Amino acid sequence: MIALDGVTLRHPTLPGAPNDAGVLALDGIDLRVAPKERVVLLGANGCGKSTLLKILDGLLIPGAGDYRFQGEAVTQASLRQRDFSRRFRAQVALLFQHPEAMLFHPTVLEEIAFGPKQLGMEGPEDRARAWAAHMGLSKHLETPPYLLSGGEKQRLALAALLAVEPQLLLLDEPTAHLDPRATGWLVDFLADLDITLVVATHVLSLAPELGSRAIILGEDHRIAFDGPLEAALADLDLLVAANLAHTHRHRHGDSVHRHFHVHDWD
Amino acid sequence: MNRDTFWLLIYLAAVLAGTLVHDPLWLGAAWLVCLLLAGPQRLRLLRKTLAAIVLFNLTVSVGYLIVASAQHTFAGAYLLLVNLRVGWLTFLAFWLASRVHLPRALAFAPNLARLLTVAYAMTLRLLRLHQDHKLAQRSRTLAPPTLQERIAMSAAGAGHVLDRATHAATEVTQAMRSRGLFEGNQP
Amino acid sequence: MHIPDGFIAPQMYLPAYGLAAVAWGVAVRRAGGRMADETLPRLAVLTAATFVLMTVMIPLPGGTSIHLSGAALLALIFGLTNTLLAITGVLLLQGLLLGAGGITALPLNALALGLAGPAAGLAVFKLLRSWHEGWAAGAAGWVSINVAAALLALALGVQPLIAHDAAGHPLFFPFGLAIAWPAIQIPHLLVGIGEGVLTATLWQMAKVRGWTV
Repeated sequence: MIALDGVTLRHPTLPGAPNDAGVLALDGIDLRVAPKERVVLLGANGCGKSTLLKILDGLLIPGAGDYRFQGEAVTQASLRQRDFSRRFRAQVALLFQHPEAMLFHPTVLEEIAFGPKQLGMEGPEDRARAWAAHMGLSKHLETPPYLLSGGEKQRLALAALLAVEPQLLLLDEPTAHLDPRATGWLVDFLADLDITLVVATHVLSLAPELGSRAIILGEDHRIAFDGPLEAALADLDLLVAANLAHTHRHRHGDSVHRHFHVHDWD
Repeated sequence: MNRDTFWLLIYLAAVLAGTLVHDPLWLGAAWLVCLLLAGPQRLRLLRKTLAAIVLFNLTVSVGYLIVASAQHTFAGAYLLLVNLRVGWLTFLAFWLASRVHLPRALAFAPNLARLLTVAYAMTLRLLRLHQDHKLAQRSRTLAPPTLQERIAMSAAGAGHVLDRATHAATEVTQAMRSRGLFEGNQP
Repeated sequence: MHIPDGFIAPQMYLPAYGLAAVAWGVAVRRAGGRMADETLPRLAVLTAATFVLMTVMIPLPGGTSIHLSGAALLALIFGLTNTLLAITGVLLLQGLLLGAGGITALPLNALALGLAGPAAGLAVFKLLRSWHEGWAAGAAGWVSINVAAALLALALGVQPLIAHDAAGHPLFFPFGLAIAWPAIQIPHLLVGIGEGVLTATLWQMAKVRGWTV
């Protein structure tokens, strides 16, 4: 479904910065994702996870390399073609880290109905109502999105995205701002979805619940690992190299020491 | 006075001089000298200069060509003068920005320096936020939006910026207070 | 309006700085008086917000779009003092930090875009408010843009008069008022509608979301 070859991207420099070459975000990324795969994209902050997701959603165009979605090239030119753009945008959905970035309608109902309306689906309002109910937002149909809580905003954003029935769902650090209950809800919700999933996160303890394949982006902005998630989690050297495991003083019983470790919790 | 303030003053003097001198030869020579002194970044600065002025200057130059010719008052010297003047002064501005640390240059006015520093940092945060917002809208828009939808989306983006800014205002104030910037008189 | 350096004569920008300095002095005193220490971070954040607001594109019919100015909106929500200071801050950031220059046009832009325009807009708003608040806000946006444009057109249009060589050729901006004014004002009559629409929309939002700094 997804084919990336040699994808490289540099972010344009900030205004006022001394050089124009740009900040490297991704370096020579090769990637294949098959339909219905569930991939966990791991990496420390700044290694390029968000950038990769935005490339997959056709929001950023790589400076070098190719991206093909279901065999079709995703480029600036192809996205300008109405037919392709429409199909692509309906099939790929990206949940931004800050869900409010995604919400721009005056009411919850309109927010969810927007996508189906644009696609020309039948009965967009009913569809929206159904999704709102599914997400526990039925009593907020007429509420402006910005009045919802963080968790509710995320559920609303998910509803709005899924209402157009995409085939690929990309999530950018979805648990970053959630409390434990909301996190639990999200993990269960994603487990029940029948869809191709790519979830970017740096919370290792949740990774096994989110997918079976791990792609680790290193601090050099290249792929450091691509394979079964369990193997990645068992390889402490790999995790340390990718800045996913840390060391700090702690106690085991009576002794205080430090060693590389990853926090586990049940 | 520190180096940055010095260069800021030199820049201001140069701009004044650039608007008091009306000989294209002097302006051209001054620009050439600056190009030489600018070092290895000269081409980059030159590129930015041209990009910044091309639209306005071309419009004015072509307009002048047409209008002055029609009125029989055309003077080629003017075209040379105005383009050299604008080019040199704009080059100076980009050069200044690349060489001088503005907050340090404004050390004589610490409140202004602090204001611009905080403003700049906040600007970057808000620009990133706004950019994300626009990307998210693009990501969710399946069919070309109507004019009404586009206006609503622009407004939503702007509203979002103001939301975040007004929240941040309290946060930034509290942070500065907590670091003791409001105790007693400011230097 | 971004006017590169070299199109405005010192006979204009030097006195303009004088005038602007007076306005800034008054504004700083008013801002400081009311909010004391906290003025700095609040104003800084407002400046940042203004900077970003000025990058917001207003779509126009026909697929084009123009930049929002936001001055009228700022005046409606945060008052004239804050508007002048925030817009001046943005002009400083753009001119010196980013190197876009325009330091000779800065006092003119600050006075036109940051003071006269929004002041006129605010006056129109107060006048029309009781009739229909939404339209009043829209009118404020339109008026602020067009008053600012008129003043800038005036500033540019008199350049050939105040600065020319012995033979009468211009030394800075070459077009007189007869050309400069319509050339600048007419597009803004249209563009101002977009500003008005967005100002009205955001004003409604402001009331609901309670924006203050």
